Order: sequence, then C-alpha cells, then structure tokens
Amino acid sequence: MFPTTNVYRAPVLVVDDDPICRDLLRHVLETLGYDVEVASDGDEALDMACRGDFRIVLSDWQMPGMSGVELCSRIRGRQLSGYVYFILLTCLDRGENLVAGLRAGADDFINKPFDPKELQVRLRAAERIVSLESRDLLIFSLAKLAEWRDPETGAHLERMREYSRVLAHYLSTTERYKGVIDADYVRAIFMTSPLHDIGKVGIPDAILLKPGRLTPDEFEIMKKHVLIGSNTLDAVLNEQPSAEYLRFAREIVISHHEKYDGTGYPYGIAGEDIPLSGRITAVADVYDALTTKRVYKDAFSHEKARAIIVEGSGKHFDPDIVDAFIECEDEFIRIKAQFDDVVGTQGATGPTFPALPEVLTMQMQA
Amino acid sequence: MDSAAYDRHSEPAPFDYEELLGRCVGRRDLLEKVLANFAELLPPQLVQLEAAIKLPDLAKVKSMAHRLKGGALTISAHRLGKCAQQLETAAGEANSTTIEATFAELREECDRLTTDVRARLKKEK
Repeated sequence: MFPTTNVYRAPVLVVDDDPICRDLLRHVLETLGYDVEVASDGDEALDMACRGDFRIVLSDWQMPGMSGVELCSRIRGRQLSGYVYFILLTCLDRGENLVAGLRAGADDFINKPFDPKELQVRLRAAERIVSLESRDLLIFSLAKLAEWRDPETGAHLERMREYSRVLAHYLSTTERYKGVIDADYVRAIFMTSPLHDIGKVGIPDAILLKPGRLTPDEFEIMKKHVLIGSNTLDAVLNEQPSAEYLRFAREIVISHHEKYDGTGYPYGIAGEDIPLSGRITAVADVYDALTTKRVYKDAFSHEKARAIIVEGSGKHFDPDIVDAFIECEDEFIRIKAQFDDVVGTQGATGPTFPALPEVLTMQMQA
Repeated sequence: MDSAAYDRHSEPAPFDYEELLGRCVGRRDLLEKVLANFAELLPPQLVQLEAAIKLPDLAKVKSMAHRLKGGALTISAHRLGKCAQQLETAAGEANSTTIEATFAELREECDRLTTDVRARLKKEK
C-alpha cells in the first residue's frame, strides 16, 4: 500500500510549529522513503532552505512569527539556484486565502489533518516537477564537457550564468522590460547561457589553446565557434522542434559576440536586431573574462572591468544592459567572491590553459 | 470508531483509532509514539491556556487553541478538536462567557482522552 523504494527522492523540509503534526509527518514521509528534515518555525526553515539542500518544502500555513505564506514568499525571493516545490498545509475551516498562497508562489496545498495517501500522490507530483531540473543538469554537463578543452578559469560557466540571471532579473523589474522578461525567461537564461561557447569544441587545439595573440587568420577560425555551436543546436532542434529552451540556447550561442554598434560577429547585426539574450550574455561573458586571470594578463579589478564595460556602452554593449550592470554591480562582486571562495576552498582552479576569450584578445589588440 | 479502553455511557471514543492508524501508514509503533507525545504535551498546554484565559491574553488563547486543535485533529481526536476550534473562535470574538464554558468542556475532554490514551498505551505494553 505504501511501498518504500530505493529510488532517489528529493529531500523534503517539513515546517510546523505543532510538534505532533511535525513529528508524524516526518515519520510518515520517512516510511514513504523520503529524506526528511524538520523546522519548528519559519526563520529556522528559511535558514535551512537557503543552504539549498531541499527541493520540496511542506509547511504549515499558520505559525507564530513567520507564516507559511511569508516563508514561501521569502524562499522565492532568495532565488535559490534549484527550484523549490512549496506545499502549504491548510485548515479549510479557517477560510485561508488560497489566492494569497498562490501569489506567494506556493505550488500546492494539502489539508490538515493530512491523508497519507493524498500526501504521497501530491509529493509524486512535486517530484515530477523537481525532476525536470535533471534536464538543466544535462545541459550544464554538456556545457562543462565542451569547456574541458578550454577550461578558461575555474568556474566561468557558473559565474556567467549567475551574472546573466542577475541582469535578466533586474531588467524584468524595469518599466521597459517587465513585459518582455518574466520569471521563465530568467530561468531560461540561467539554464542555457552556459552553452554560449559550446562551438569551441570544433576549434583546433593549435588555435584554441594558443598562449599568445591570434593572427587575423586564426581569429577568423576562432570566430567560427558561434556557427559551429548554433549549427549543432539547429540539428538537435530539427529533431525536437518543440524544445524551446534549445531555441533560446541557440539564440545566445549565435548572438553573444555581436556588438551593439554592428561591429561584432558572425553577422554584424546591430542594436535591437541582436536578440536580448545575446545582449545580456555579452555583458556577463565579458565581465567574467575581464575579472579573471589569463596566462597573458592578471585579473582586472571590478573597477577596471566596470570602466571598460561603461566605455563600451552603445558601442560593444546595449546601454540598457550596461545600466542594469551598474545597478547590479554589488551582486556581480558578491557572485565573483562566492566562486572565488569555492575555488580557493578546493585549492585549485584546474590547469591554467591559455584560455582565449576572443573579446579579450580584441580588447588587447585594440 | 474504536477505542479498546473506552467503553462507557455509549459516548464516542475520544479518538478514532482506525483513522489514526491509517494516518500512521499502518505503523502501530508510530501510533503509540504519537499518542504518547500528545499525552505528554497536553498538561503543560492546558496550564498555559488557563493562565492566558485568566489574564486574559486573548491572542495567546487563540494561538494556543489553534495549535491544540491541530494536534487533536492530527491524532483524530475530533471532539477535542471541535472544542479547541470553538475556543479559538470565542477568543477571536473576545467572548469571555463562551471562552470559560468552552475551556471547561475542553479540559473535560482532555481528561477523557488522556485516560483513554494511557490505558491503551499500558495495554499495548
């Protein structure tokens, strides 16, 4: 009736100030095969959720201090890197406002006292949603695989997708872009931006790994990586035309080296002819290239990178995106420090191959 | 309804054993643990509730009644849950007469439940 299986289950965080309900939920969920941790109030739960260990939160609605609705809202506001499926436990007799729960970002509701069969079915639905992120992991794995030949520095892909997410999220709050960028767009750019240089797998080692400056001919070959990447994704899209996230990824791959004034590549398109995703990732990619060490240069300070990006406003970069970058620069600094810490903790950045972000080559040649 | 230890005056058992067993996914050990925890936590809750009524601190009465209701319904003690619900409502309406009367009824139901739970737990041992 309640089979326990050995398959992976997303960890569940149970939040309830009532120790009877909390403990019973924990034992029942463990019997159903889930890993469970418990919190007795919203503050404790928020702290635990921010560690990123939980994919499903099952929270009482009414608790002293932070309510379940507020907890849900706070978790959504923290933009945790993995999606957290949030279920609110409700007492129907209280006439709790389900709309308020939905507005806060709750995914589902379960009545108290709970029915374990209903609980099991609803958690399965939660797992289906959470498992969709395995797709995201596969995409990121593919990007990391492509990066292996050209490892740049440490966590370039991790930083770049965070920078892209921060920019997109900020733009979504502005009058001009709020109708263009929604939460789904922000998730999509976070998920697919690591694929931006996937075409570098098709660039010969002699060019990709060259420690010095590229000759004009070599640079022409290097520029082909955007076409190799987009052609690869086109082939996949032909097989799976409904995979919108791949279409989004292709857009980034083909356009992130275009420049606002039309002097970029591969097509030399300008202004808003360049897809917005390409204009966003261009800033994210260049900022990371500037602020990380290469064999031919030290890492630039944030201030120096900032000055270069501001100088490029309206030339290399979309002025709106540069404005967003300025607004979010504290977040950029925090993200860089966060990944610097991770690399430092691990004690190594991997082999320092002569990575070649061509934008830097161009900067240095200019 | 089922309650091995409770069989008097044709009153319903203080909690629904089968329903609670179902909620405990058929685990009798879990059912006993839940009942023991509830019985242990009940007396201090009643003391605090009574103190809040005497003050009166109606916000605390309402909050404690709500929590008691949650625990009662979790162990399928429907009558106690109903009493706690009435107390929560009365506290919300600041109806002191109803609060006093409902608390008396609630305490009586708690006694009935505690007696039954203790008898059951003793029997299970």
